[in-house]
Amino acid sequence: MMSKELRYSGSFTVNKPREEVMDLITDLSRAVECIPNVVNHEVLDRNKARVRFRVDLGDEVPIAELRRITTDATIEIVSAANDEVRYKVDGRAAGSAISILLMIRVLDKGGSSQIDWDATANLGRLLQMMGRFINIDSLVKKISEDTINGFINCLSR
Amino acid sequence: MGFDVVVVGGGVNGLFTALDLSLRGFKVLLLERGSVGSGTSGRMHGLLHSGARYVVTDPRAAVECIEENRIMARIAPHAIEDTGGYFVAIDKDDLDFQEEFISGLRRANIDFRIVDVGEALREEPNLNPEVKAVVEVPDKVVFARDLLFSVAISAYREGALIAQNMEVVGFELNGDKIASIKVKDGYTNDVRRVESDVVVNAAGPWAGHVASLAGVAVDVMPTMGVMVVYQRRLTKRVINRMRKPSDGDILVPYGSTSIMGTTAAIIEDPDSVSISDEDVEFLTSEGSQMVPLLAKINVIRAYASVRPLIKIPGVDTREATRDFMVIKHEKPSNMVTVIGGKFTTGRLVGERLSDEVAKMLGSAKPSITRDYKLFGANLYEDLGELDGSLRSLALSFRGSIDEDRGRVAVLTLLMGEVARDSRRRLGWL
Repeated sequence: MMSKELRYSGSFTVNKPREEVMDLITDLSRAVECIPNVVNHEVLDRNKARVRFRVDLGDEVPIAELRRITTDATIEIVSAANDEVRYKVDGRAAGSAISILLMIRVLDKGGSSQIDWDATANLGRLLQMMGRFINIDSLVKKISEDTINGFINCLSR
Repeated sequence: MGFDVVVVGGGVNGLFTALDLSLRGFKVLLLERGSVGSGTSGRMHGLLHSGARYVVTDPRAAVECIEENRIMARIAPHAIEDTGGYFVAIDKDDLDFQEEFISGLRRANIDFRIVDVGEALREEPNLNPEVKAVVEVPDKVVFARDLLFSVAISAYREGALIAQNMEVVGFELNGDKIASIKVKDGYTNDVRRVESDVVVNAAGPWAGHVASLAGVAVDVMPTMGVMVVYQRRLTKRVINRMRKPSDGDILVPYGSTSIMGTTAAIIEDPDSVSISDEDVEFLTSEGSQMVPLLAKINVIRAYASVRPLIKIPGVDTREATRDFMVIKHEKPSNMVTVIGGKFTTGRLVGERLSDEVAKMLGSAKPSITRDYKLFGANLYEDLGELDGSLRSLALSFRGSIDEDRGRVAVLTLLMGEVARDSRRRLGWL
């Protein structure tokens, strides 16, 4: 079984200028604080942080300990251009590798900003096997949306 | 040799089933692939759940746990330490969970007490001094092998045969029924045949494999939970994190050690588990939030237990979220499988399985295991007819410096005797 690639994308607008949005999303120490379900984190350098999340897989999972699992990951800003930031997230969940590439593009809308995002998740073989028991696709989608909503909340403050 | 019931699996579920059915008067043989308790049951974390852990997410399992917690303390006092347990709130999220948690405790009828933080720190000086709230519940500690061997010996004394190193390798079907069970004798490598009216599949993570040997299509995914054992006992009580059940949230005082559990990882083969340094570091890191000293004492060892996620055709996914399920198969029509269950609810699983089997065999005799004091509760009085050398060796622990630690040694001695005599009576020498 090859690793499975899942892709999600979306777009939203915030009432903040582009520079302010870019300042936040290129500053890992601030950006990490916006991600929901982060248990703790350590900023390794300007572009890299180690983060521990607790991920809710849902109560339909028959084993209690597997319903909420802890995931250790490294988040890295791999590129930051004028209006685009790319993050790479590598970690392990439930004993299986997981890798996410997140691209965020910020467009100036005259005082406010339009944010387009695109996430590609690669799940390890073992985690994919869990797809027989839970809906992995909707789970990853929910985690992506929760993360983006976390950014929106931060930017709206 | 023919039996009313063959039970496959010598873990807590299979053993209590063998005992329950023997007490109802059935002729029972239990087949264990390795040694009694060598699978998941002998690698549990030591917690006899009060049910508190599940009051929010699995209220039904919570009620079952507290009832079984009380029963187990009554029927196996020698295998239980009534430590009590604390649920501790360390951060704001934990504190936010407290109200829902307490409502759940009330609904499940679990005794609890909100403990003043100062009192909790006096009682448990190794607790994190930053702890924000503490709730006391009737968690207990169960000594796994003491209990498992006690159930096995009790079942044997009630007439069951307990055969170790006997792996089920196939079934011969006649129509829609299992006519005989093919068993590989681990001592001689011979394949033997056993006839039985009913087969109980209580093989835990291997239940899917056993069912597949009988032609039942199952989808199994094993998951592994790691436990880490630390050099010292750091608390009197079980310490739980006050949050929805997750990984890394239980610290159990087990004898002179502390056991931190557990992780949750998907694996491919229940016979192949590996524990990484990351598992140990993770559990130490999570545990030290409740008891900081954990990060400073030596890790003695780590071990892992395997539990399966299983899908069986015809079983509702929502039903699969329950603690355990008893499944009577359409074909073979004389096989019953149990999936899931906790060590704490092993007796109840045995009762439910036996109810199903008794119905299949046309018996209305009810279960009596809830009031049956297990062998070992009065160990030295109950030693019975052992040959002279075994009896004198077992009795030598009584009144000695090692009387308490010797209990499991004596039970192991007896377990060996039970297995040997079972083989002899099966004619498999």
